[in-house]
Amino acid sequence: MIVSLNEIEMTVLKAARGAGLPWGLSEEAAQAARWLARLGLPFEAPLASLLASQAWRADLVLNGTHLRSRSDEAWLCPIRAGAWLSDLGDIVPVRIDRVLWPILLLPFAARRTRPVELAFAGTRLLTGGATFAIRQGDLAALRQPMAERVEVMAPDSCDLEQAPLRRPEGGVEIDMTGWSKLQGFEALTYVPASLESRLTGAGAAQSDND
Amino acid sequence: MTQGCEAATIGLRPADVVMRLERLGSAHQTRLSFLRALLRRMRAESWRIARLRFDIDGKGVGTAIYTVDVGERLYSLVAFGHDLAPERRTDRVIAEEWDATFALCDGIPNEAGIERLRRNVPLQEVGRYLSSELVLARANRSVRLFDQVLSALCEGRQPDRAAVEATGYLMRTTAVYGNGKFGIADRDLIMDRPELTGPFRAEMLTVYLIRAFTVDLVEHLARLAGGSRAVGLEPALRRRFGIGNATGLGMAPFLVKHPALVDRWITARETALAKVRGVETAGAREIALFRAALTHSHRLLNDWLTDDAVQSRKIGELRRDLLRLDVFATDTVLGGSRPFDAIYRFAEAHLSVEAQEYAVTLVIEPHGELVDGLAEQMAIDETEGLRIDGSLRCADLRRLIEAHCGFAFEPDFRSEEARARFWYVSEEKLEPRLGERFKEPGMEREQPLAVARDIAALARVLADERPETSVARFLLTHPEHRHSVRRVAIAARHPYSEIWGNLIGAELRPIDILRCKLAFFGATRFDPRSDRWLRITLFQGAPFPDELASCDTDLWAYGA
Repeated sequence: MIVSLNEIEMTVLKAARGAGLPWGLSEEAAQAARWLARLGLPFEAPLASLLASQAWRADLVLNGTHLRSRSDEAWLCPIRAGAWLSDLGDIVPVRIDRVLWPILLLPFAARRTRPVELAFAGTRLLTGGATFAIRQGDLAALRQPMAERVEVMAPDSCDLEQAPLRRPEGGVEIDMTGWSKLQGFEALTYVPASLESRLTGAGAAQSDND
Repeated sequence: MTQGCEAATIGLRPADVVMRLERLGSAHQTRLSFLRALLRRMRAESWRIARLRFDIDGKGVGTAIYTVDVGERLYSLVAFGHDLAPERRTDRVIAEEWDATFALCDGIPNEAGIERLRRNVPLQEVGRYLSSELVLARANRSVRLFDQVLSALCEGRQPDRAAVEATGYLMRTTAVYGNGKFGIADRDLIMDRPELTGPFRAEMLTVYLIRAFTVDLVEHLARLAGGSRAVGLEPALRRRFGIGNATGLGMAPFLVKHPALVDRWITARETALAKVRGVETAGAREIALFRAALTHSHRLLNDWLTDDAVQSRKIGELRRDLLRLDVFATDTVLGGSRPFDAIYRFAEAHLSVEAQEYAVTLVIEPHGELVDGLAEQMAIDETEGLRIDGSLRCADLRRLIEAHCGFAFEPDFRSEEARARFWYVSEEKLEPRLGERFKEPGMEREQPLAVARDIAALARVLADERPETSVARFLLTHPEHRHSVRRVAIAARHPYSEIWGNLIGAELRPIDILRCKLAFFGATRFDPRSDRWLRITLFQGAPFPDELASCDTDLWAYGA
């Protein structure tokens, strides 16, 4: 199916909230999905898997700019960690340990005013603004479901060519498996009708044949 | 000529005056309203609108296509007429069929494209669309007036003017969807096109074309039924047909979800008001336009009818207050120093809020040269508010809340009254609804519209936080306050971003929120049908496409 960026944003916003993320982080997830979708990068499966994990509930330990979970078993949520990464402004270096779906950190790193390098499991990415470049590794590496350690640092060189903001003219072709799971979470934000809500929820009904 | 403009000496009205629900719920159209800005642009750039196709049978079933040539690009409205059984006709979003359905398209679709639209557009939300479609809409007939006009034209006579004024339109739209809904083009795709940069410009264009379709339809049906006896509408009477709209809670969250955008709209209007209040002496032309708008308003207001008790009382006060404004606005006042400031201050001191806001409309009206440029400053890139500056300290954040979010501390949220309602999205129609928090299930699925309550909660938590803690660290451990921190940051930069009212209080009349947005669209004749939905009229009195070039007045907006 082909969807618009606005549909992606709205579906992810509601899915994140439906899964239990607070509203502010749900907004961040929605914007992250929009950023990735615009570049043709996967967001559906990573987010669907992340939302099922409830990873944002993990207890965190922050030591300077080193973020990790309190427990050795737990994995961090890249939306919660990414929002923090965005809030930090241009501070480098930053280290995030044991984080799920490192690709979801990319849109947050890109918000900084200067390009930064993200390194995890042999992959090195340069990102800034509306784009990114792979310095080391390949696209497949972007689909890693987790990374033991992600480092965010100032790049040796900032030769990131700012591709013009891509506008998917014909909409975005989505992965239906992940999308359906997101829609499942989305449905958890809706309130089923009751007799009272049918009568009053949107104002009393009158005849419109006038 | 108007002499001197010292806008700097008259400040903008403060947010805690402008953004009150009562005042938002008394807003009127101004010359900055979106549909008026659209018409000015159409006229200035000589957009060419043509009826390319009109294959509609005697029951109103078929296809019509209107094209809009803006010079650089072509757009088209594809309209489908349907034969709707009366029992299926409802303005509410629960409807599944309509009298007519529409899509505004980028370019002109070919036959295959029209076929694809025919399979989807009549289904509205249930259909799927492509980015070549910009807007999706539907409309229902105002049955009584439509039939009355049709039979009059069939019999070779003009319809009764009083009946036309009483309703004001042949059809009303019940939804107009843009920005990526159901697969149509994202706003990102079209926002850089100069002809569509204003807020809701594509939607306004769609509605304007639908209005033309409605009168073409009734004239066409009259010719089919009445043959050579049938006549068309006389042009002056034809202009009295606007296009109706029925709007409900679906529109309310928009104003809350787009704080920076709302600030641009209000800032434009308030800047216009400050500018005209700063005019030192009025020119003869400005005085004449002001008087004409005021004089025409008296008749216009007589045709503004509603069954809603609150609005009915407000209209009565407005009529009375405009007479007082007439008496006050003597030659001496208008010929004196800062005449429009004097008029505004008189209204502020002596007239109802509804009339104060009408006075804003009236004083801005004669000053096109001074204010029309502001209509081009009503859009904003909302991604600018996305990033939170986490380097702020919690003490800074507290100060921002105190300085810019006074609205959060007015309600006493410990009382059930102040939390009586909650906003949710209904599973049945996927539309926003307002529920009773302590009587109905579902409050754990509340939508984030309780801005004041949530910022008050943030302020309480911050009180216990160490002042030097960074906001980045605070939000890492308090992610549940993230949406509120973002709003505080936006409010600090955008004074009119927040409504100064409690959106979950027992006293809330949701139509106050809708009214504000609809006034910015350019709506008139607000007719509340409950506290949650209302009917309005758009484009009433406006020139039709074939009259645009020859219409040299803006006073149509006052029924001239």
